[in-house]
Amino acid sequence: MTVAQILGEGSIVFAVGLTVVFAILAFLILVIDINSKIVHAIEGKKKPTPLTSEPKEVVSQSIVSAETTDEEDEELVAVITAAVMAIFAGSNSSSDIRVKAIRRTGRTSPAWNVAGRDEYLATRL
Amino acid sequence: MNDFFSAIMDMINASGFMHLTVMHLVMIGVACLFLYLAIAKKFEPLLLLPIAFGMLAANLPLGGMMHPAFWELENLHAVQFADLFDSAKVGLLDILYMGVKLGIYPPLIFLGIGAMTDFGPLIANPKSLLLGAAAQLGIFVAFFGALFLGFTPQEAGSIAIIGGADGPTAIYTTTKLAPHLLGPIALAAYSYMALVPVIQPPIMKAFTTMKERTVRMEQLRVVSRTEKLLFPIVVTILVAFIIPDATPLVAMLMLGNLFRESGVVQRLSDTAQNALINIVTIFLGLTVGATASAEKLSQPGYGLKALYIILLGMAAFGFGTFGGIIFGKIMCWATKGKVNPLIGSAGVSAVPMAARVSQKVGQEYDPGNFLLMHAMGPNVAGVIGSAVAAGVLISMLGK
Repeated sequence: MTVAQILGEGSIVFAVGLTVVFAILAFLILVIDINSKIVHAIEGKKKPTPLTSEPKEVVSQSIVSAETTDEEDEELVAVITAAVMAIFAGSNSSSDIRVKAIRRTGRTSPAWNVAGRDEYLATRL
Repeated sequence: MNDFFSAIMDMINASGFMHLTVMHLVMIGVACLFLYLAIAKKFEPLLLLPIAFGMLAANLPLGGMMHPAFWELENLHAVQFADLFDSAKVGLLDILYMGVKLGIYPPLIFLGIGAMTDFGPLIANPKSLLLGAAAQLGIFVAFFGALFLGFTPQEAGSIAIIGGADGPTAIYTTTKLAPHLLGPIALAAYSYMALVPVIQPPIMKAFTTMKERTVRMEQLRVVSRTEKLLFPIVVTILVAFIIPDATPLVAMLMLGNLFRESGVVQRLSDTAQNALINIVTIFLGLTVGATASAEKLSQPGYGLKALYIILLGMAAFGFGTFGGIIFGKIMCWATKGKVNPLIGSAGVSAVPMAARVSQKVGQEYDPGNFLLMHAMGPNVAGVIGSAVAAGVLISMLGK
């Protein structure tokens, strides 16, 4: 290819390529914003209920999870409440059970036991 | 007695030693070098080790494991698929190579990557997508450079995509545009990905001021599960409509992410990010490495081409980092100091290495500055960005 051809074809690919990539990703920004607004509008209307029967992942393996304390607490409450409901579901109807407070007791197991249990949970379950 | 000796002579003649050429020795040496880099220096060993070993296996004379000439014809229609049943003509690696040639393995790896990726930081701060786009500058600069060095546009496109810092994307693009360069391009791509912590910091420091480097960013907002659930679905639909050639990569990436975020297919998510991606990595690495055969590399000019690819790869990474940093500076200025330009370099999508580099460099100047999560936004945006760029190159340059 001659230098002129190279400059010609190269510039076209350069310009079109960068423009298209930027345009598509900018469009995705718009889409995400609209997405988030719609989701917040819908979720704002629903009354917040702490009861959920889905198992939530309490221990997130990925390095990239951003957990604020609020999110962690909410998830923990949901899991503990679900576990309580599951245990008592047979004997009473679940509407008789209301979780009023969840308090952490002091560390009752030695650290090594806890670490071993955590590792088992993470890798085997 | 004569029979005995002639039988021995036959065996000696059939041995690899008789069919050894200098080029074979060179390739075996290079393969061992890359094995050393992968094992002792830990350069992206998950891929570099199979690639290096594939190169070794393909260059054992008469080993018969790989026949690149079988595959490298102008198009798939010319390949004599019926010969796959003839074990004299094809070996194990030829059969496994079908996954590369037919474009199956890279999208499957993206499936696993999507299942491992948390797009939360990106959704929380969608502007990171712009940094992911800016970092693809390296691709297009390298394209220019490759044209100047005498490569055809298709070859230049394949080399340029190294700048996307994304192994599967580079392999997918090269398979479609310039399959004969697959070996060197894959090696260059993965070697440079391993070198990100070495290549990026000087560029990051050279183009940012002290004030910019110490910017502390606001905590990311919490992203709801519904948002994370809708994201992959919406992105797949939109990108597929706008740039169809990027669909296999982006759709599989988002499917993997959907596996993860939906929470109802834990087994599938688990398989995708463990067993599946590991199996495909083994097959992909092995067969991609095997395409770097002595016969092909003895062709005149190939060694020079390989050298150029190495240089262009470096340029691609360098300019990608530069593009991300410069756009980061623009965003810092535009938001009046709310964005730390150092996260821009994470748009070079070597996940999560580039984000860790941003974190490390930021901490050099302000030990309490935790940029990692903020850098993950551009980092994963870069994966999408490089897949889109690949789609653009394939659609503009493909036949």
